[in-house]
Amino acid sequence: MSKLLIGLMLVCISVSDSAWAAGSDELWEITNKMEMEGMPFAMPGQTSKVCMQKGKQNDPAQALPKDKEQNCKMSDVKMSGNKTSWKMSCSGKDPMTGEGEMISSSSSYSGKVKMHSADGDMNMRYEGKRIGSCDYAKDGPEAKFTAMKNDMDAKSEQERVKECKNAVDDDSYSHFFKPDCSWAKDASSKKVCANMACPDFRPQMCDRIAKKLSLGDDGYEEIANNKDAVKLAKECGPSYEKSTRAYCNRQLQAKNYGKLAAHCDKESKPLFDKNCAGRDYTAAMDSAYGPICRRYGKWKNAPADEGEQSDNGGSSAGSNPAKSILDGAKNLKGLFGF
Amino acid sequence: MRWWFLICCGCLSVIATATAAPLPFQVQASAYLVEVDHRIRWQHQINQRLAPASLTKLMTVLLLSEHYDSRQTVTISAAAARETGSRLGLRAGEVMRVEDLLAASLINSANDACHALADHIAGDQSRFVRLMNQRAREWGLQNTHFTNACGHDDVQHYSSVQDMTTLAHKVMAQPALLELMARRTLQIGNADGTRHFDLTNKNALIGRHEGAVGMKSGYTPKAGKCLVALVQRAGVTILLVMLHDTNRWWDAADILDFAYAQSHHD
Repeated sequence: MSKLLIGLMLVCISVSDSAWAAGSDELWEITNKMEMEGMPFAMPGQTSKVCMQKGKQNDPAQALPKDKEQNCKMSDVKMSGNKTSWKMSCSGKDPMTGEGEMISSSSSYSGKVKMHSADGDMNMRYEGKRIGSCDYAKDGPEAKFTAMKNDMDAKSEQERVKECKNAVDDDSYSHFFKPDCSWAKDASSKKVCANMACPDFRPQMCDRIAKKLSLGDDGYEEIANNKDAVKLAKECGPSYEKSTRAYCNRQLQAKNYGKLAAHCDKESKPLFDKNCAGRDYTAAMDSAYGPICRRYGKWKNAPADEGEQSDNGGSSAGSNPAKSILDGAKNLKGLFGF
Repeated sequence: MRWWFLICCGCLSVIATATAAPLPFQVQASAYLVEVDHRIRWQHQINQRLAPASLTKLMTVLLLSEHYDSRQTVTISAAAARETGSRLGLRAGEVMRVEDLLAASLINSANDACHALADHIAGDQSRFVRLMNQRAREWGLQNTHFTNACGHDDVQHYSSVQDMTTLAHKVMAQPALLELMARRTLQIGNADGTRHFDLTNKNALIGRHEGAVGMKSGYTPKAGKCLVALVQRAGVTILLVMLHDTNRWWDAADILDFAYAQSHHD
């Protein structure tokens, strides 16, 4: 309803009193007053200037919202002398119906429109008087509406650019991927969603990542510890893979097994195979290779580890999760005696 | 009607057994249960009666905590000094503080210290065992029966993962016990200070597995390798109870890491 109102107001009310271009069309001063049923007080009347095509002051189509999303149509237009009446309906996002009438002369008009929507009924009274000339193509409601939309789009883009610059400065890596806009159903939501991303700022972010990667271990780890950063770094080019190899070689030389375990699978795996697999847990974990030994999770056939008592090792009762299902089946079989 | 009711109950029981969620990877334990933040996540054969080995000592220390006075001393009996398996090497007639016997029982899983505590609480082990079984019944441990205080194998000495989990929860409510179980090493001595004992925690996860804060391990030939492990990491509490494993520490580390990782997907 509110969008529809804005649409109507845009038709009936000029949003600014900017200079009017001289032309062959007519500049009108319009005063309108809205009343909504159920509201304890009437909204104050508003006066504004509107540029109309010559002789169109008594065309009820002027009262239709110009927003295409509202899909408004006029019907049952009747003209009798200086009186015009009509019906209107909008089937867009905020559906409504209405009827209106006006009395007009070449220099003035007055009328009323009644609208019915899911939010209730609304009455609008309006009157106008011709006060000069203007250029409709430049100053008409459609032109102003388009100009306002363009202005809003420009402001929105400015905001997005500002956000994206901040995202680069703040290392907000997730901004640089195409957003999932499956939630957005209509055009405006899709646009809002699309504006949440900064794919066009990827070059700047890639440059920033490249600089971090050139800063040595700290810079590499800052990237490597962030999943989005790694994904983006890989998409930025081959420098991440190169940096990984250089970083891992440095850790291998320095025997930094914790860092190797965290970031260097290629170097860790052979060390795991050589120093961890099959070893006693305490011996493996107490060795320098402890972090690498934990990296690869479980393995089979590890030798017996220490026990609390000095007896021989216990017999294996290796279990299989599927065994419980088999046990269950056996129980069932026994229960029914087959 | 009654017959049908029994059949229905049987079916439900069988279905429950068949659909209980085991871990999605192979572990060597005959029975296990994993709780994450007090919610059971994976389990396998939790009511199977198995030898609990030194996990028995959880009941022993819980009974001690009912009458705990750290200032008291205990004179080691000949029976306690004769204990086998893991032991401190206490001598008959030697005087020990109760708090040191408790530490040795929990950290070192020392059977002589454990036996001495049983003597201290009930007069001798056989009377203490009656007390253990009485508590087991009171606490609803339906698949548990003890024949000794410290966990030696015996046909009539058994428990289940489910019942051990109940005991573990009771231990978790005793901060003093948890504090001892979290110690990697500790030095204790006899009452007159003539001998010292260096205790090293038999729970290999302590100090090696991130967030491992205690509980108890156990081993006998019949019981295999048993473990109750408590891990508190980044606000997540994981309790693992496993009986009769052959690859205990690696299995435990894998299960605990897996449980922690999974807790972030919930």
